[in-house]
Order: sequence, then C-alpha cells, then structure tokens
Amino acid sequence: MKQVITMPKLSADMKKGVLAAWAKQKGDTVKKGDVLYEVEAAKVVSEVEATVDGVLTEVYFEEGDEVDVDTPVALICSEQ
Amino acid sequence: MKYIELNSDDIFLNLATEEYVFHHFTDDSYLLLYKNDNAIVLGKYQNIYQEINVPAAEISGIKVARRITGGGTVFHDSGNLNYSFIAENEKARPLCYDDFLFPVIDALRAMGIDAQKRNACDIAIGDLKISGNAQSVRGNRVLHHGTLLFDADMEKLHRLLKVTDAVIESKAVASVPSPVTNIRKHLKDTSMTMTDFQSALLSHIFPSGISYRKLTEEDMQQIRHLRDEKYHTWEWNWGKSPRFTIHRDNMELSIEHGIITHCHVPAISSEATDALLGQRYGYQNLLRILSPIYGKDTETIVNQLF
Repeated sequence: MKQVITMPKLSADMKKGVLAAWAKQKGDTVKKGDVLYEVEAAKVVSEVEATVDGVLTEVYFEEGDEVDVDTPVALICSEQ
Repeated sequence: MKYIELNSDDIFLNLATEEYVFHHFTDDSYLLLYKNDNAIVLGKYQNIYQEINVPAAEISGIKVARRITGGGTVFHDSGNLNYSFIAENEKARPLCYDDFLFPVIDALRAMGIDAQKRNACDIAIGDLKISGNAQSVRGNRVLHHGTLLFDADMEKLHRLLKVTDAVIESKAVASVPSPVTNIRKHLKDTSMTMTDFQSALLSHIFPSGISYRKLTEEDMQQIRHLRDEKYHTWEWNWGKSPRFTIHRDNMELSIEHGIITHCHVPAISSEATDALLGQRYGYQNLLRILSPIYGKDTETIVNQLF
C-alpha cells in the first residue's frame, strides 16, 4: 500500500512551508511515529511524523525548498 | 504552570536548559526567563555566513549561537529579557502564537505600555518592534520563546550583521530586518530596572503567586552535557548552515556544512587553493591556513573570501 506524505497545514493561515530538513532518506525503513522531516513556517519549526510503517520510496523535494500546503513531498510503501 | 528561574547569562547554557525542559518536563507547562551576555542568535535553519559579518564577529569574540526554533537572527545582551513558554500542544487544538503573546502583551499594558501584536508573531509599540517570537513543535509539546527589548544596545547588532558586496546563493531561511525600540523608553516610570520589569511580568503571569520548579543537580549535569555536546559546538552553530555558494567577480567558493568544497579564486595559487579545500570556512581559520603562503598580505587576501 502506498501512502502519499503531503505538506501539512499547521496553522489556520499557513499556505506554504519550507521543508527544512529530512530526518529520513529515500530507501530508509520508517516506523509509525518516526520523524520524517522538519517544516519551518512563520518561524515555527515542526517535526512531521510518519503515520504508517513502511519504506520511504520517494522524496520529491530537497532541504530548503518551499512547498505549498497539501503538495506531496514523499511516498511511503507498506506491506499492509 | 511553573516558573523555572535561570541565573546564568551564558547563551549556550540557557538554550540547553530550554531544550532540556522542552524534551523532559512533560508533566506541566513552564515559564523560563533569562538574559544572555552579548550574543548573536540564529534561527535553526539559517545560514550563519549569510547573516553575520564573519570577520567582524570573529574579531569581536562575540558568542554565536543557534537555537532550535525558526525565524531570523537577533542580537542579545543583558538589556534583553528572554521568555520561554513550554506547554502541551494537543493535535486537535494546536496552540498558536496568540496563546503565548497575549499574556505578555497584557502584562506590558498593565505597566502602561501601548503594546500591540504585529504580524503573526511580533509585539510592537506603534511601528517599532519590542519582541520577536518563534516556536518549535515536537510531538505534543511546544516551545514558544521571545525577546523583550527592555534596555538593549541596538548599535552593536548593526556592526556585526552581514554587510558584503558578494552574492550568496543558498536555500536558507533569511532574516527580515525590523526597526526596533526599547521598552524602557516608553514606560511612565523610567526608573524601572530590569529586575523590576522581570518581577512585574512574573506577577502578572502568576497573579496568585509564583509556583516554582527548581532544577536539580542531576538536571544541571544533563543540561551542561547538552551545552557541551551541542549548543557550544562548531558543528551545531556553524556547521549546520545549509550548503551555499559565495561569489564576487571571478571568485567563487562552495561551502557545505561550513566546509570549503569548491574554491575558485584567481588571486591565489593552486597551492593555496588546495590548502583551503576541506577546511572550515572561518575568518581566523583561513588566516591561519594562508599566512605561511602569503605572510603580511594574508589579511587582504582572506578579506576577499567573505
């Protein structure tokens, strides 16, 4: 099963965020609750966690890229 | 909410204390107040080389520190009071800036200051900023901290911030400069000291009396360890800068995590170029590396590399 990871809307007026740092790399095994990446928006640094177990098979942005809310940033493939 | 009193003016120790409380004290919400000796403080994902005048900062010996929250570069001195709220952040109802800004704004108003919220996360008097704020969110906890310019020396900041005619290309989070003012100038009672100001703020936030939590010796051991292993390291403060290139005329340097990875400087020899590759990009460090080759001309050459 594939799960698309998107840029979350972390506050009512957030339109985009900077994908500040990847905590996992393409190909890494991830567990639910692991931090995948950090977002910076409006001077808030937030950790974004995986919501499923699986393998991070795709990452679509580099560190420092500004990404619109709801845009896919990565793909996790799981066995379920 | 409990109050943790910090008595150190060491920026590295104070940032380590904040992180320690943020990550370990999850049973309650906390307020910390602290002042730092002269220091430049960067946002977590900023490029230090893009923000500060590296030669001037290194020569002055000022402390340069990186915090774990977002936003831009600020100057701290003993006239600036820092406050940190650390609290539970329910996913269903995340806290926002207003939850932390308004208790402070209300306290300032009670002192006769016409403080207003400005933009998403500043406090201002008219058009002049008196407080900049930033946050870090981790799991279900939030760290909100801000500056309160009570009686700070603004001039020092201007000397040490970035002034260069070179072009820096990076994806780092850049600072947004704002005109600022000191709170003290706007008080009816101008005899108020920093200590009075701190007490007034605390009694407004804890109207029924302050509930304290003291840091134990075991806490302090872990905080000092965090300071020494993270906040007071070159790797965190300088090396965490995102990769970038700097160029001027025909000179071009690429820097990755503070290390020179590409060097094209027509004014220097291939021997000097080889000596610079793989080295930390710092003013004193480049002087040290190039002085055996260039002697008394070293400073002129190194000045061209920033």
